[in-house]
Amino acid sequence: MTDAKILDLYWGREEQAIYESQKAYGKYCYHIAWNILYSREDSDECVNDTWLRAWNAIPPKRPGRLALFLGTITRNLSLDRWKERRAMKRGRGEMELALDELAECLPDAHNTEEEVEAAELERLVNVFLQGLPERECNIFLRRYWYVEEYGDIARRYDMKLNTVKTSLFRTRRKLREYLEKEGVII
Amino acid sequence: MSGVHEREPGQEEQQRAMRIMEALSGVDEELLERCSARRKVRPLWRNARAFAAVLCLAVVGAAAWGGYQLSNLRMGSSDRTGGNGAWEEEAEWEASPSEDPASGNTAPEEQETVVSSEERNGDGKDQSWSDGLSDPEAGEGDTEGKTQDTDGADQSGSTGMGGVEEGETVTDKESCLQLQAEKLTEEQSRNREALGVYVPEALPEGYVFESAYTVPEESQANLTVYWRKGMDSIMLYLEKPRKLPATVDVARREYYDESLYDIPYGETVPEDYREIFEDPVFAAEDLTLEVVRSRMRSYDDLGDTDTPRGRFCVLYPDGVLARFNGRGTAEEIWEMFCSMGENE
Repeated sequence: MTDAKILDLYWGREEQAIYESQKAYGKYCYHIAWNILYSREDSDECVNDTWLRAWNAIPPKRPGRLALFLGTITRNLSLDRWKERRAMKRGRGEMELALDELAECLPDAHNTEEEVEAAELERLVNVFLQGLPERECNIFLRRYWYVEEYGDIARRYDMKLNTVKTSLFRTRRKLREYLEKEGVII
Repeated sequence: MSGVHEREPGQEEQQRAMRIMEALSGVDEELLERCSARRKVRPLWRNARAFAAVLCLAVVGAAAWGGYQLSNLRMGSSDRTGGNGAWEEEAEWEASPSEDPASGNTAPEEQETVVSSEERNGDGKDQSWSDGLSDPEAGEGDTEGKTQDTDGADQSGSTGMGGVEEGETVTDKESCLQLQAEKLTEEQSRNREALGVYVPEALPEGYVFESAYTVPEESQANLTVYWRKGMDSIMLYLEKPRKLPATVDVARREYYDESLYDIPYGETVPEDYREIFEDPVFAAEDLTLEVVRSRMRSYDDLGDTDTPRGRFCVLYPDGVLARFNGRGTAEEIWEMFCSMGENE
């Protein structure tokens, strides 16, 4: 079933929309959740919550790319779930590593500056990513949006593992320099 | 993990890193969609061109190899002539078992086609020593019959000058001069006028007579005799040339002494007298054991016997020229030459 028809089902408030979404994007969303949570139970819950969130969001929304819309919901839910788990000292998996790496991007804090707003940070990150070469941007997003392992990224783009690592290292350094240049405090 | 994690960021740092992670949730959908695509696989048609080129090369290579093999088969097989002594094998080419037995042709013995073998002796220096010869006993009519029999082609328009070897093509037959040869027994060869006395009485130990031929059509008297000992062989071609060849000054050892040069001779023997060196003609009165020894040399060829081999000519006072090409020790060959000619 096409995205348009699924969206029509949502807009028609037909519960089959959830079934069709699960059928079309269940694995995709589960993959995102699993990479972050590394737990079948938590991942299943996040994916199920995704359909509920989507049911509540559509309408009024009519996303252009349903997959990304659903994937973003799953990702946000998974991040929240991960934070809860970390609070319970249960955090593990690729997410820990990804966060450790992203900590490199944190610019030095200055007392005189205020913490950047979430929306502004989102905008800045977008600008930064759009200025990256396509390959670097793709690798960065596979690693920090999808939280994929190096090996998976290397296979996806038919690259050497070390090339992926090097690319990510350079991009993180660029992001840090960029955020410092923009005077961002996180 | 990598050195990235050596910093051991604390919980606060992780929380701040989480803000970047969350900020990524708002990334442009186009960027996300772009990164979801796998690496573009090269279109098949592009690879197909390379595959097609490789395939063409393979086909051409296979065809060339097949043609080469077929050519070998038809021409008498280079494989059969590959080693030393192989030319003896070709002295008698027997009819192929695949020939049509119903054609009513001559017996295999009658189909023998004699090929003087010098050009197949590995060096191919003296092409004049060899010719495709046929058994005159076969007769013209038989020859035509044999032609049809051996390759299945209608050769009625051929010259009928000789038999057709196994697998010989029409082109071969039409383009090559073929001579009729008279096959002789050892006794007949010894009784040949003028030349028979030069058929040696003494041969290196173990050698046995194999065949003898003469080609009546040639302008000068000639006689070819073969002896064989396992893989080793001796060929003697006797003739009485109208124009006598120049003989080598045995005092000039550099002209003929193989021990003075390293192999390959083409690189070590001076060009000025390389031709003489390759096929020297000694006057009979100059021939000594030392001279023979200078022309008999062992070669460390893989798979070959270590019997010394040599090649040279001897011109006798009566104008008979003996071309020797064979194997044996210098002493044996010297003794053989001593037994040749009029023993007075």
